[in-house]
Order: sequence, then structure tokens, then C-alpha cells
Amino acid sequence: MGSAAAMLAEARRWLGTSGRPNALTRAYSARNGSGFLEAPWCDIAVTEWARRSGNADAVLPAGDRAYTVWHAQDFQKINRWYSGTTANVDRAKPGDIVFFDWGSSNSIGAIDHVGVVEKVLGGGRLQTIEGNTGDACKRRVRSASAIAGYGRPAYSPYRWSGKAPEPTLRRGDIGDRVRDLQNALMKVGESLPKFGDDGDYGVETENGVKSFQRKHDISETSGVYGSKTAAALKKALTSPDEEDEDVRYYGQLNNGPAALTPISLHPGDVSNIGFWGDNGILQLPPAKLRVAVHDAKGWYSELLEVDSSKSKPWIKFRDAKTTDGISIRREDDGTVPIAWDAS
Amino acid sequence: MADPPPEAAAEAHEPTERDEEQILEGLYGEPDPDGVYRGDG
Repeated sequence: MGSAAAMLAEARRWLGTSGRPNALTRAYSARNGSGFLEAPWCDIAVTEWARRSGNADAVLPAGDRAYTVWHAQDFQKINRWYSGTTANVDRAKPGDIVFFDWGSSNSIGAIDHVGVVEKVLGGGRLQTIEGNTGDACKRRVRSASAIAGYGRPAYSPYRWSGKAPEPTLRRGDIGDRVRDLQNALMKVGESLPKFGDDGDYGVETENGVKSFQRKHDISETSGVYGSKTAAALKKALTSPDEEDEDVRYYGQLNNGPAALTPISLHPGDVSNIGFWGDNGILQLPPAKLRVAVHDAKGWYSELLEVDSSKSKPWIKFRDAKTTDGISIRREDDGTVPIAWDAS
Repeated sequence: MADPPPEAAAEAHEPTERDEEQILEGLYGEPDPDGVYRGDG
């Protein structure tokens, strides 16, 4: 199953790829003709990343694309296109497909370049991963003045089953099994403050595994999630204090001023949502959030303050059986990383 | 079969934000010799 995390993890694997032809243009040409072997390859890269991360249906609504204008129009046709205003750019999400128009027109016809959003920086700026920028795959910073708009792929929602994944996983692995591991580590008390369950087994996850191995005296390759670590993690998850068969949702809020984080829920799965932040570690003021909850009666909202020196604020849903969506808006400058947990 | 797309404008191949280097270095550390920021963030 695809996800924004898997799309980004795949894009990261290609950082540094350069020249034409390359492995991406070869793969695309094998399906679409040799004329693409040495073609401009920014959208070819997006196409290949989507296919290789299980996200073809979400990222390529009309199939393979090399021509950015047609790709943007594909999103427009399914009402998943957002023009590149500063306000819209600040509402972008990691995994969105961002299209560029250097003439500041926001016109789809003027688009000639594309990338994938990795971070939303606020102030109308994004950090991206782009293929064919300087004929290489690189990270870039782009602003609303260069952004014609972005398409929001209908990525599959991820839900943690509450169980530890099967071994083996190690640094460099990507995907939903890694997200399962990350959620399991956080559930048993390990800290993944910066990237949470991003589906990418990077340094933070490796350190989380090492910490868990140390605490449980596990003699296995340090930082690798092998069979002994998996057995101990499964045991920790089902210990009497931690036993919980309920479905849980986890995630991190989008950063930036007024950044929105929409969350879809299956009615009846969960009955409350809580938040915690890293303002203490970062020596920042408490974060402020407006949390709007939707159920059969409509929307209602609460203003919450998230302060790591105080207990985690929760909202108990007024009608959990029909609650199907939450929209969270940052009411501060959006710099404090905030994680959420619905159960 | 579609034709290959036209070449992108020069801006696609260059930084378009003056502080790009500073931001990327803050997020991912030093770039490699080819100017690629590969860090885990």
C-alpha cells in the first residue's frame, strides 16, 4: 500500500542521480519509447518514484507522465489541484506534487518543471526533491513566486495495527513496515521527535532501536531490528501495563503559520485525540492549536495549548460513533513539532 | 505515443531562493562534493 512517506522515501533514494540517460529515464523509456531516454526527466522521476513506492494510482491519476502540463491537468481534472498562492503553499503537505512556473502566473500552461514536497517551511516556501535540476536529483527550496500550484495525491491512509512488524528491518528500509516499527517504538516509550512515523528507517529510527535494545539488554546487531529485538518489542507491546487492542492513529502536525492538518477517521474507531510537543527541548513557547472535530451533528472546535512541561491536552469526542474527521490549524508560528495520537 | 517534453527554463536548474544553501545545510548538514544534500535531516 502506498503512502506519502513511501513516496518521499523513494525520492530520497535517488538523491544524486545525474545525467542522461539514467536508470529513471531507462525505466520510463522501456514503457513509453526510446525518445524519453535523454528527455527532460523531472516528471519522469516523479512517475518512477510513484510506481516504485506503490503510489502510481495516487500520483499518476492518468498514468505515466513526462510532460508537466498534462500531469498538472490530471490533478485539476480530479479536483486535487491547488494554485500556488502563498496561502495555499503554506497548506501544502509532504508528498504533494509541486509544479513550477517561473513567470509567477500560476498558469498550468506555463509549467515546465515538477518536484515532490518534502517539507513545508512556512512563509510561502517549500523544500522539495526534484529530478533534473542541474541535470541531477537534488533538494531545493522554492517559493510561491515560482510555484504554479500543487497536486494532492490521494495517498492511502495509514493506520497502525498496534503490532510490531516482522523482522528484519534496518537503516535505509522504507515503507509501512518501517512505520509499524516506528509506531511500536513510540508506543513503548522511545522518542522519535523529529520524523515520527515517516516510514523511513533513518538515523532517528536507528537510534530508537538502539535505545530499546539497550534497555532490554538485547544481544543483536546494534540498531538493526532483528528477530530478538522483534520478540522483545512484541512482548513490550503486550505487557499487562501496555495491553491495548484498540485501533490507534498517530501522526505529526504540519508545521508553519496557520498550517492545516486534516485527519480522516473511521467512525467508531477512536474516542479522543491528544497532542504533545517539543517546545521544552527547543526552548520555544507553548504551541497553540485550533482543533475542529466533525461528526453527524457537524463541526465543533476547541483551542488547545501544547506545553511539554504540562500534561498532554486531550479532546474527548462528543459522539465517537459518528466522528469521521478532524482539522487542526496552527494558531502560532508553527515552529514547534507537534505529534498527535487518537485512540 | 507522446513526444518527450521540452527542456525546462534555466531557473529549474538553479537555486531560486537566496538562502537555499543556508536552509538546506540547517536541515541536512553539509552537501556532498556534487552539491547534493543527502542528510537524514
